[in-house]
Amino acid sequence: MCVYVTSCEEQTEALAALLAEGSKPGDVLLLEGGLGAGKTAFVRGLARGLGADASEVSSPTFALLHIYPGRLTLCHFDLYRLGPGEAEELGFEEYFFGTGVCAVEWPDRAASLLSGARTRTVRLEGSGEDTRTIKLEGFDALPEPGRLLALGIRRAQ
Amino acid sequence: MLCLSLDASSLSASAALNEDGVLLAETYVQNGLTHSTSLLPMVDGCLRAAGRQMDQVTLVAVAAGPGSFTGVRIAVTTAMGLAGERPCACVNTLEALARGAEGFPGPVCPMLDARAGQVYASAYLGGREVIAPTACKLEEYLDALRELHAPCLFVGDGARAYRERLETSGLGSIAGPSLLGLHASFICQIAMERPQTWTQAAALRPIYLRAPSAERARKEREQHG
Ligand SMILES: Nc1ncnc2c1ncn2[C@@H]1O[C@H](COP(=O)(O)OP(=O)(O)O)[C@@H](O)[C@H]1O
Ligand SMILES: [Mg+2]
Repeated sequence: MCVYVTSCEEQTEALAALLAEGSKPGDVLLLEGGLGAGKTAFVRGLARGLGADASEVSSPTFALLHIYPGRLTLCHFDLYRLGPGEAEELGFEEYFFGTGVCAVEWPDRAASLLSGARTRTVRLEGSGEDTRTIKLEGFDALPEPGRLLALGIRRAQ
Repeated sequence: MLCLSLDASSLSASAALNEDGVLLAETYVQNGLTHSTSLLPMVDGCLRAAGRQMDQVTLVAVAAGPGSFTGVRIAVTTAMGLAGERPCACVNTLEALARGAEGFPGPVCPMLDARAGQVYASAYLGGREVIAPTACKLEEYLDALRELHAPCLFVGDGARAYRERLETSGLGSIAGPSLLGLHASFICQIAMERPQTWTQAAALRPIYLRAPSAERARKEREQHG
């Protein structure tokens, strides 16, 4: 496990963009954290790192899945409104076990479906206009310390 | 033209058949069964009642959401299966609900329960969209309606779920029971008016799956003429 501290939205995006550079087809990022923790901001960074149009990334209205074409296709899920058992009925395994990169907000809503996928966990903590601690688990490659330093992103502990 | 339409986006399910602007048959059920078992027999019932056959159908239309994610998926998948090579059309569930109150002089306000204290909702005045379909907290929606300064008519099953709050809001009235569930005939009406939105069956998408932006922009252009 590795923990970073970001002090603004831009830093969270930048960290995500660095991680996206090392992502491979079939990667599924589970984004944990409450409302306003910065999950969607993190996805915006992933989109940028994958060469997709990051300005399009937003919190969804009634969409559960947004698709952004890039170096790899980014599939952005927000499962907040999903009811119990619904994820299984919707056929999302097509994406979770596909060739793009999935980023999943509220992954607990589809826990059993996701359990077999190649998941990495990103846990964001904090809220408001504040710093966030970002815990990464399961990543093969972490960003180079030098590049993080240049962005002003600290490593905790 | 013979248009078959389907809805399973909430607790009710409905199918209808419209020929050249005339409603030939419509079925509506809220029977507690899963929509996957109800829909095909309902289609069959409409065809029989109207004395038509599936191979005479020229357009298949479906309420593609917002609504129950599972129900929308069932309806869209069923529509794809029935359509084969025929043209298909996705219609917004909220817009179809509002069409039921066509002719109402004030804002027509369709609402669906969206879990987590939220509603899917929009508003139409004289057939024109004045609040675009959105998911938001009930109170945010009511605040937006207040700005319209006219008595509203609430339709859709959200109006049933939030009846007490709507009654005390002083914003307007709640439609009768037949406008709280979606009747598929309104889906036919909207789909038949908009040949520019027709697609191949394979291109049908529930509204909860948002396509890449370039494609979305093109679709929106097509929808708004
Ligand atoms: N260090 C930070 N990282 C990410 N977002 C931050 C940070 N500090 C403040 N914010 C703010 O927190 C909010 C995060 O919103 P969003 O990404 O939509 O959250 P979520 O998707 O988790 O609900 C934004 O308004 C953003 O400006
Ligand atoms: Mg979000």
